[in-house]
Amino acid sequence: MASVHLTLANRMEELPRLDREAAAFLETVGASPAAGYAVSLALEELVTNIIKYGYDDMAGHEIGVDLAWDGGALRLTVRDDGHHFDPLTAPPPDLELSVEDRPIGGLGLHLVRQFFPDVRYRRENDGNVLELCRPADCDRAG
Amino acid sequence: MNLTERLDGGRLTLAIEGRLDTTTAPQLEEALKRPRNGVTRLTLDFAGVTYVSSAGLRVILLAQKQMKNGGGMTVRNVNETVMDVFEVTGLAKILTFD
Repeated sequence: MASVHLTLANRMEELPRLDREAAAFLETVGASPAAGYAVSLALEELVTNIIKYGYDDMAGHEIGVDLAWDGGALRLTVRDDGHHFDPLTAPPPDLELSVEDRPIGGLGLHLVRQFFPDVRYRRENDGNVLELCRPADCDRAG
Repeated sequence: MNLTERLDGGRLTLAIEGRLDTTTAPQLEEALKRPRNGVTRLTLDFAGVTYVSSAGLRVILLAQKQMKNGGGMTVRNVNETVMDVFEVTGLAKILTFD
C-alpha cells in the first residue's frame, strides 16, 4: 500500500500544484493514465466546489487530500472544514435535454461519480470527508 | 493551453492544445466571444487536447448554443479519454463530430 497526504489552502492558485503533486505520486506507483485522469478531474471538480461554495467566511482554510494505491484500487479522500455539504445529495443532471434546454453548469459532480463508482460521504469533527474509490477492490485500498 | 485560430472564409477553426480546465477555459470563452464578422461555421480542433473538466464542457456547450443559429459547430480529432467525458455527460449526443 502506497499513500501520500497533500494539503492546500483554499485558493484557486493552489490547484495546479496539488495536481502536479498528485500526478507525481501516481507516476511513482505506476498507476494507469486513466487513473491519473480520474484523480486530476476529481481534484479539480471537488476542490473548486469547496473553495467557491464551501465556506461561510473569507478566512484561510486548509483542505486535505489523501491518495492511496494498492496496485489496483485507488482511493482518494478529500477533507475540508467548510459547512455541511454532502455531494451525494446533489440532483443528477438531465442528460437527455436538447442543447437549448441544457443548463450550462452542474456537470462536475456527475463527472466525478462516473470516474469513481464508489463515493462515500461523512460529516466528522465539524468537517466534510469524501472518500472516492476506483476498483479493483475498494475495500482493500483504505 | 495554447489556442491557434484560423479563419477561412466564413469558417473559423480553433485548434486547442493542452488542458481545458478551470484555469484555461476562460481563455477559450474569451476567444469565442470576440466579435467576428461573417463567421458562420466553427470548428474546434481537439487534436492536442489531453484533458477536459466540467469548466471546459461549460464553454463547449456555450459555443454550441452560440453557433446553433448559424452554420453550426463541429468538433474534430477528439481522443478516446476526452470522448468518454463527452459520452458520460451526454454531450456526445449534442455535439457534431467530424
